[in-house]
Amino acid sequence: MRRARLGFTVLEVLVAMLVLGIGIVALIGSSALVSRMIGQGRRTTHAVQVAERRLELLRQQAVTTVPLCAGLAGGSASQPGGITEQWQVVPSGATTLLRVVVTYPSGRGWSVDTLATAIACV
Amino acid sequence: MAPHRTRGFTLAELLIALILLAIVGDVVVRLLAGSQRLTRAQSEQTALQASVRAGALLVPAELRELGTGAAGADLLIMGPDSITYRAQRAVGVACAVTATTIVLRSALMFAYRAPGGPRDSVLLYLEGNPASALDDAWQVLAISGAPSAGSCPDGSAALDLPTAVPAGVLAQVVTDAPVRTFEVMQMRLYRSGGQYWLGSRSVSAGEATIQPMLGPLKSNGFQLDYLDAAGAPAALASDVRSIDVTIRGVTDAPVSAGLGRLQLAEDSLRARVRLRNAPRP
Repeated sequence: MRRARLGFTVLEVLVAMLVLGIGIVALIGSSALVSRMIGQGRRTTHAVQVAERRLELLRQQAVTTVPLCAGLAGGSASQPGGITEQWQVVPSGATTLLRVVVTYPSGRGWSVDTLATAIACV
Repeated sequence: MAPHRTRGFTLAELLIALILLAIVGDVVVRLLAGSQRLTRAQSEQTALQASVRAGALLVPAELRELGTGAAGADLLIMGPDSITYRAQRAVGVACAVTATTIVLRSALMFAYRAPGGPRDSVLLYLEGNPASALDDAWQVLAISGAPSAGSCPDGSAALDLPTAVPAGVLAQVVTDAPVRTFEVMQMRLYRSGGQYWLGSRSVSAGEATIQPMLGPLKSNGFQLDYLDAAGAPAALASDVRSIDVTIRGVTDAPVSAGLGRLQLAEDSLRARVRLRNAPRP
C-alpha cells in the first residue's frame, strides 16, 4: 500500500496527458477559428467593395445620358478572387432602384451579399 | 532492506524521466510558440485589413464632393500617387451678400467645422441667365477673417463671413445663392522611416509637413486613376468624372506565412468614386 502511493500510476499520467491534450487542441481550434473569421472578413470586404464599385459605375452611367438613367441595364460580371456580381435596374418613377448581388467563396461554400440603393433620375 | 531500496530513483529511471520531460516540454513549447506567432499574425492581418478598408472609405469620402469642368474646377493637381484639390468643408445658402460680407443662413448651414479665413475660401454660385445652365459659375472669394454671428434680412440667425465681393460679381448674385466653402488639401504617398504612408496636409492653412493618414503601404500603395464619363483615362481635370482609388497595404512587421516562413502580408482594395459636383450632360 505504501509503495503504491509514492508516485503516479501509468493510468493517472495518461489521463493527465489526455486532459492537457484536449486543452491544447481546443486552444489551437479556437485560433484556427479566428484565422478563418479573419479570412472571411477579408473576402466579404473585397466582395462588398466590388458591389460598391458597381454602384458608383451605375451612378456615373446614369448621368451620362439624356434623359438621365436611360442607358442603365442589368447585367453580370466576374471579378478576381472568384467574386461574381449581378446587378438589376428597376425604374420606379423619378428614382431608379439599383441592386447588386455579389457571390463569393467562403470557407466551405459560397456567401451571397446584396447592396441596394436608389438614385434620382431627374 | 526492502523499504530502503524504494526510497529513491535509480540513475536509469531519472534519465528516462528527464528525457521524457524534455520531449514533452519541447512539444509544449513549440505549440505555445506557434500559437503566439499565429496570434501575432492574426492581429497584424486585422490591422492591415482595417487600414486598407479605412483608406477605401476615407479617400472616396474626401473626393466625393469635388466638381470639375467649367462650373468649379476643384481638381487642382492630378498625380498618379498624389492629388491636390479643393476639399469641401461647408455648404450653405447666402440670404444676403454685400460688398464686404456673405451672410449664411444658419438653419441651412451644413459644415464639417466652422469656416474661417484665411484657411477657408468661398465658392459663391453665380446664376447668370436663369434659362441656361451653360453660363453658371462658382466664384472663388477669399474669407478675410473669423466669422461672426449675424442675422438674415428676415431676422433669422446667420453667420457673417467677412470677404470682399467685386462689384461685377455682386451684380450677378441671386437671392439665396448656394455657397460652398473649401480649403486646398493635398493627399499623397510619402516615405518615412523606410515605410510608405498615405498622408495629407492643408495647403491653404500653410502646413509644410504632411500628416500621416494610414499605412504602412506598399511602394505603389496609393494609386489614383482619373476617368472620364466613358470610363477611359482622362488627361484633363475638366474631363474627370470619376476616380479609381487603389490602396495596397502591408503589415507593419513580417508575419508567419506557414512552414516557418516570415514575410510581409499584403492586402489591397480598389474603390471608385463618382465626383458628385462634376457637370452632367
